[in-house]
Amino acid sequence: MAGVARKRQEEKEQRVLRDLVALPGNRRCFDCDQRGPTYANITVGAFVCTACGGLLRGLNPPHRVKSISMTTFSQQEIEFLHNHGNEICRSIWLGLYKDGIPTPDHRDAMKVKEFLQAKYENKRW
Amino acid sequence: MGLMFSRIFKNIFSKKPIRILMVGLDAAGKTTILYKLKLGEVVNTIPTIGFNVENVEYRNISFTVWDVGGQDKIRPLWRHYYHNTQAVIFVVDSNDRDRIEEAVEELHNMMSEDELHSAVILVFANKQDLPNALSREEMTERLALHNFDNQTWYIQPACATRGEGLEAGLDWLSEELEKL
Repeated sequence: MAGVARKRQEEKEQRVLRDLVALPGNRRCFDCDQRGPTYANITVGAFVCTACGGLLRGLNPPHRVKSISMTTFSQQEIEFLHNHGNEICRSIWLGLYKDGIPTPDHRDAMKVKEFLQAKYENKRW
Repeated sequence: MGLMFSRIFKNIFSKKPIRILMVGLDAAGKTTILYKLKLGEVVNTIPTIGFNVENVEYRNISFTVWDVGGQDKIRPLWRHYYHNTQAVIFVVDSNDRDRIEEAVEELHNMMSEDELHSAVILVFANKQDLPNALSREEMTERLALHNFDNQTWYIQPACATRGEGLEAGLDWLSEELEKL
């Protein structure tokens, strides 16, 4: 019985998450702008792609990323993501970001990493 | 004569690769450790879906290391890798104090499986470079390693990105595996 209830709860969480990723603001990776995020950065509350998820784990201090389909999320984590999301994160982490500075090419991991260090470790924008 | 035979015998067998299963919670540093051992360099990893497997030659011993993804919904897949495993490397993020309990549970559940009862356990207390990292003593205590009274275990503090502690861990493993 408990198993069934848990399963239902998980399905509900999955639905809520999928709805969140489907919001216009969350359809692209918050860190490299690729389409279709598959991970959630639960340190800041943003949706990101797999590659950026990997890089975020290597920041100092590391961010915690969770796969949307391969991990279970707690109620608090879902609420946190719901209350943040990429648009709000943009105003926090890229508030001073000028349009003139190009977002790094997502194929160049070194460039993306430097960008993420400036963004999160040095809080440059 | 008998001694000579046993030595030859042992030599023949030592050529056989040792099968090692490397597991741990997600973001503990398993893939980083694997490629640091294999290539000697730090690679940018992405969260592992499925597994990575590499042959690592160390001190005349050939290790086949299976690095299996650690995200919670794919942890039940670990058991498919238990068969014939001679050693388990359990990687823990020493800095992630919030998830130590989760790591303990996974470690003890896994080691109570019959298929692993004769496997030796090497714990890498990884990410020792981070300021909030628990020490070897604290990790031993928190991971309840002393409860493994029938199994051979060892804990090695490590920092995979700097390569610290990894060789010391493999030294212990090769010594233990030679005794078998």
